[in-house]
Amino acid sequence: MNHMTVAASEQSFQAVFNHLRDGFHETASGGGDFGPFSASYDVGVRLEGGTIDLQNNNTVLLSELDIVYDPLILRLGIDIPEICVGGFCIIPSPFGCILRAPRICIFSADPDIQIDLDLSGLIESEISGTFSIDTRYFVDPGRPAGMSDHDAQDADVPNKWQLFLNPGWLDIDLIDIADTVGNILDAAIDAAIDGLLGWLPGWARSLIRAILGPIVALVRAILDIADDIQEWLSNLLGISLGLFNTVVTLVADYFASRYPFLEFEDPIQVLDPGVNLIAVKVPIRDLDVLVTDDEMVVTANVGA
Amino acid sequence: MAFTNHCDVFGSLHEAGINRVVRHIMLQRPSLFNYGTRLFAQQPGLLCEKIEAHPEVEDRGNPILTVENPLPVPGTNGLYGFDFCVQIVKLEIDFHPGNVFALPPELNPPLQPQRLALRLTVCAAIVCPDDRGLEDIVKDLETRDRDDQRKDDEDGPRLPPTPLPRGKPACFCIDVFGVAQVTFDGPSGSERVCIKLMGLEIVDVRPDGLETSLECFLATTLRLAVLPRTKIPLDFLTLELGKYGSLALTPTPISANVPHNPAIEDDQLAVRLDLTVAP
Amino acid sequence: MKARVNTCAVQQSCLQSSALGVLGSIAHPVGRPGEYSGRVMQGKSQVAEFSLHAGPDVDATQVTIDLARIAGSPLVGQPYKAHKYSVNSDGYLMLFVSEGLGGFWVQLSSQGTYRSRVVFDSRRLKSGDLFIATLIRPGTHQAKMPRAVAAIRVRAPEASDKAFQPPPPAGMTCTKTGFVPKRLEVYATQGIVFGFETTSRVQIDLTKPAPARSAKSRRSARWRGRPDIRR
Repeated sequence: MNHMTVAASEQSFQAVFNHLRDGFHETASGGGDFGPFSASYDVGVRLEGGTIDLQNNNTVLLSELDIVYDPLILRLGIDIPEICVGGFCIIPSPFGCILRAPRICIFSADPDIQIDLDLSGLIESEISGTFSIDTRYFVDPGRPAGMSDHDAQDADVPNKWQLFLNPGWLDIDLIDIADTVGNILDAAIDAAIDGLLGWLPGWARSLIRAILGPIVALVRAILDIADDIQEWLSNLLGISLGLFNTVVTLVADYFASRYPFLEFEDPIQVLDPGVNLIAVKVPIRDLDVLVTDDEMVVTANVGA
Repeated sequence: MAFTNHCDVFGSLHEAGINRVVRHIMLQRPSLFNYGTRLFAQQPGLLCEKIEAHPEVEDRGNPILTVENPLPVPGTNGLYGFDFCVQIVKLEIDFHPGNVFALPPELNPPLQPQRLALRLTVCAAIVCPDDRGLEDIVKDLETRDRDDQRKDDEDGPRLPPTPLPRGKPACFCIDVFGVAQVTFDGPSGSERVCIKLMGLEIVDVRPDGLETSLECFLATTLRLAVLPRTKIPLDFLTLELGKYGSLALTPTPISANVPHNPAIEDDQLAVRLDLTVAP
Repeated sequence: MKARVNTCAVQQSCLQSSALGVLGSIAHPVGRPGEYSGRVMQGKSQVAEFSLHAGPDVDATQVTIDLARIAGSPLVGQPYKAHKYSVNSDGYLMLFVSEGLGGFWVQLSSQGTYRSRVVFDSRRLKSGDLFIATLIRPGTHQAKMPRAVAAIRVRAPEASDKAFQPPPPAGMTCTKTGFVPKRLEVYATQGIVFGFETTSRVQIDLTKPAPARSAKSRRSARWRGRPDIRR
């Protein structure tokens, strides 16, 4: 028979989880070179929502934890092709061109044009997964050997019991990319080209734009967007840049290693200190956790 | 049936656990269980039972004994008093159903539901002065002039009394039993579980009046000195679950589903709490 | 990001065969095998020299020389190096200017046993020579040769779904009686090849630029949404 039993209902567990969830605010960045274009991102991630379901197999099921990308800045660096004139054949022959006009380049962009897309709030994704509960005994590395528990409490290096949510598996689903992302990309491309050409005389801008063709179509070709920008963006962020893997890793690491959902000092305080009276502290041993359909049950013994 | 069927958070402490907790309190707060005059504080070897204390108590200069004034010798106008000590050397708790120790008949066994039984061993002594010491005091009292005596009569007893000299403590120990219940105490959000003594019985002291007086003495000491300073915080009973998640835990109201809260049942003290999430 | 613009190309409003600049080039048929030496002049200063070997055994039917690249600046202490080229004796010497202010002209001399002889002077183009002009500025241009003019209308490319590809080069001939045809309409960046039936030179000036259209391209792409995308 365990000395101590503490049980928290699913609702309580949800409340504790919500508190933990609300403390999550991480940032990450990444990038890559993909030939004719490069891409990088800076992202800040928060979490919202999420439903906890305690399971009879000693696990906690998490569903529909919303990921809020706040902000998500995607930077695309694009090589606009050189614009050259000439190069045409003057004297053709059945055996090839005998005389060819020289090619003269009148416009190039070096290095790339850069398009910054603010995708904050335009991408919806969710995390689901299961967690087991990990019990750990934490000894503060700053605590010298032989230090008493009361001294350790005063020096803020007490030992602790900690319970972590250890992810078994985590899935991230990309739910939606807002329709407006296409227009945003469009406008960003136009703005970038305007910035590039803006100082040229009007006729030269028109000519370069005409030679390049519709800028959006050109950039789309460079970026290899094809018909569906949402799918392209999903692949770029998810596969090429690994953004979603990064987010899953951040979430997993947060819950599994960095922030316990339950933590208390060992020995635990029973009576507060008084004038010339030490606090009364009681050691806790054999901490264990069981998850059922209804509740999380923590058991422990009072140490001798 | 789930622990949290009718509440959000459940916490319980088995009687084996609470007895360990009591032991830790006795080691780390010995002055709560040991009382005596300055003589015993200065010469702890004279105590009836050696006080076991946690090393931190000595390291930090905490008292092992609560120092009290000597018991006045009646008729000396408070001039002289007995050195004495009172020690609770053992304290055991048995939750309903009582199965750790048997209650004396005076406490109407068996232990009733929602009750806990206490078994204490109390040792005490007064330091009885030797004859030579007394003779010196008699002489002192006789030599006090009439004016001093009139002044003593007018002013009343002066405190603290001077301890009677050169005596030896005459120790005795008695077994004491008690019955108590538990309630919540304290402001909302900072409730603690406190033990309310309902009855106390010393076994086999005669005459009955002496027994009753001693029981009163001990019960009053427990009620005023010991029990108010040993309330159990909810944070301890819930392993600080609410503290970490910024949850506000308050006792679940009494209802048909929760007829007792805190409850004593199945050899355990149990509390049921509802949570309010802090904004 | 930086844009490199060939400002001389963009700002150029006059093309001359006798003082080559960006967007103009000259092709001269070598004609005979032999050793030749070339002098590159800019105004009155020689800024480069080269030697040319023309032989039937050389595969290349064309040697292209970027006069801006090989020119030094002797007046500011930057001497030029001698360059060597080879071309098939039936091939062409192509002269052009890739960047800069231009104003180059070239003399080619054959190296005989006893003396050299000027066989080509780019200031006076003869039968067989070609002057290739690429006009990029929309508007009305005037081509001039001594005692003759022609009008060239350069049109801006139409906005369309596709990138603009200029049509094949147009042709104009310099004859004793003037240009043939006397009017020409081309698109910007479409080449014009001037042939010569008489010894002459050509100058093309912008006389009336076309008004500029709005710099923004008409958006023609639409993005379609797809609500259920899963990894």
